[in-house]
Amino acid sequence: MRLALLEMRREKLRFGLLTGAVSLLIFLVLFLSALSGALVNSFTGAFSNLNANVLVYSDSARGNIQGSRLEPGTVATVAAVPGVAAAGGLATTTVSAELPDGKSDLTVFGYTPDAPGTPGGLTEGRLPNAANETAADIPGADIGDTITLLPTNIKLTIVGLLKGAQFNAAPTAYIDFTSYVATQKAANPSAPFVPINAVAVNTDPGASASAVADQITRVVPETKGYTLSNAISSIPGVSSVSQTFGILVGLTFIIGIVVIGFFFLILTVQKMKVFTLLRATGASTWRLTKTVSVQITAVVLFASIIASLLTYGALQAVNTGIPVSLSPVLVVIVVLAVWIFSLLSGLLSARRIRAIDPASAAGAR
Amino acid sequence: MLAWAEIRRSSGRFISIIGALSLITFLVLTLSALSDGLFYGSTGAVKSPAAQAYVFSADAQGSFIRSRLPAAEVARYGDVAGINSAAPLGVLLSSAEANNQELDVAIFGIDPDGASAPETIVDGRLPAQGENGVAAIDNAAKDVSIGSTVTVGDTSVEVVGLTSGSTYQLQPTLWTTVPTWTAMQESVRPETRGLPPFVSAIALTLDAGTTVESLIPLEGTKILTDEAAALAIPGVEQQRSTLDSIIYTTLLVAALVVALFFALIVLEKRDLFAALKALGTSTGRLGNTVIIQAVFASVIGVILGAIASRVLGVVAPDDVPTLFLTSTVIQISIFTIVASVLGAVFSLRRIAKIDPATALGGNL
Repeated sequence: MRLALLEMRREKLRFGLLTGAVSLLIFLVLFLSALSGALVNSFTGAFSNLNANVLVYSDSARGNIQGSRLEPGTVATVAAVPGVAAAGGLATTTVSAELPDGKSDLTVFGYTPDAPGTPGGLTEGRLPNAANETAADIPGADIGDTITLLPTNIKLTIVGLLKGAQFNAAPTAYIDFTSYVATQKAANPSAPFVPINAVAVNTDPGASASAVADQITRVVPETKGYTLSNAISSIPGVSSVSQTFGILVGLTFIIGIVVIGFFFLILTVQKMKVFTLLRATGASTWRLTKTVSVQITAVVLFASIIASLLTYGALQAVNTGIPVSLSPVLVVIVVLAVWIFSLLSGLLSARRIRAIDPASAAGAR
Repeated sequence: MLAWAEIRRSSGRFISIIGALSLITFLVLTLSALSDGLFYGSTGAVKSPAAQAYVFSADAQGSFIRSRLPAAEVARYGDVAGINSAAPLGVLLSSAEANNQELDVAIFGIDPDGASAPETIVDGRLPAQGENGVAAIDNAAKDVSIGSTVTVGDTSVEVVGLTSGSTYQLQPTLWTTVPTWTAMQESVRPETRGLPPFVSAIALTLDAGTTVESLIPLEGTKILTDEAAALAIPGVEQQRSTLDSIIYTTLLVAALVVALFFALIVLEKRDLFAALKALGTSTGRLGNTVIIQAVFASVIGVILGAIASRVLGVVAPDDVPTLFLTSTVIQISIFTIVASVLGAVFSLRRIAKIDPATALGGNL
């Protein structure tokens, strides 16, 4: 232990450079994971937080809720299917709206209160229970703010803040179905009825979601049931985006830890001569290995702290239009993985330390 | 000579340097390819026509899907000063059926001779002026070829041409005439039946010297450059800015890591350099050695990284679009090589400061 720390004090520059490189690589992995997680979630959040485990679309929708049109009466038909505990209508549309931060696209969801299809992820306030109230996931919005739907000029007051509830990477507002119908009628007074886009279903306890989804597809004409995870992966573009980012984060992770491994390998390989000398003066292989491990741990620890701070700072600075946050679990997993891999690459060189013939320090071959 | 001799003698160390460099180049190139693939996959259809700008209805926020303009606006825009030509564009996202298989398509109703027609025909032809019931389709649509029939709702078209790089929101685009597009729209979106004739947007080419900013939009409309129209596609701007931050950060980190790598290696060789200087080697020669080695290692690293990244592009799943733009590959390669050399140069100062006396053990 003393040997390890003594060397680090004496060789500030070398360990400084090493810590710098390792913290940059850890930073990169953390930054990428946080950003891409946020992006994928901004496409799918509305569904992954939805209070439902099966969604039913019209069979021509090909898994796209915005391409699906159902008559409101379908809710009752779906509710009668065996295995369905409860069903609620879910409607969605995208409009222009005046938001606290200016004019923008807004995805509006109309849901049935106290039925499946209510939004999850409430962080503050409550879900709406009166006309012209909304719970929303809008960057920069606060409880009490008003948003105005265009061109109808319908005003909604925000009574609840949601997190991770966006759809299509756009600000998203949830209102009850009655208010939703009112907004649609105002926009298009001649429409004979306002269709719903999906039926959200909670299955009976113990029933398999995929079996119930198939059953609905068979029993209710012109509909198709999806388990929630299938519904998420069939949102247009989501599988491309999530796979692209999955590959991206995976690659960066692997390359990051391999490059860090290279750094430590070079560090120990370059010190072979010193180790030989130490072996010749009686230091055991075990003691030298311990020295290497302590140094690696110290470097990784310092680097992780720097990297976490860097990531936190960078995430505050970037403005990609989507909500981003750094999860502590992610930090811990990445740091542990880097530490373990670094130790492994350090131990690889410990094998070489053991193989050193102390006599070579005396110039013997 | 010294440089090469050392590379030959300690090939193990150089292999690890080259390995690290290839991995970093591979990472940056793959990120760019994924990013470009996603971006052009979402926006290709907007960028393949000659149009320099698109007109949307004012409340559409630049969305082709939500925008709706009276068909008569096309002719009115053709008369606006500074506009060379105006052509109608109808956009519809729908599922279609071809060869008994369902596929998602973006249907673009165009004027085959106008600014809304794609310029990326790779086989066959576009529909002729006024020729309904035929279409060209992007070659991203698998199993659809010239002669296939594509059916949307109750309207069928025969495929007469193939385009490339013209997908919209990662869906292949079906290029057909405006009347055929209208028929498809009415068949899958019954609520549009009986409305007065409309188009989604108007594609514009401008007179030389005219900018989009200088045009005054007609009432109730909004003009966006083709670039801005591409970014207004839902999710595209968020994807683009996320991927841009990722790539710039990765480039920055890669440059720093590569530079640190070389600085560290020079640092480790202090004693060796001291000995060489004691034997009369000049600082300049040692500097050359270090730089030659840095160039050598980074060039090989970049080549290996580029090859690995291309291989990954080939084996990546179909859902993951990749696009290797030669310009991006060249930029990134030069960037990596320059970063390595800079890292090596950074350590030259240290070499210059080495006191040959330390080689003799004189640490006094």
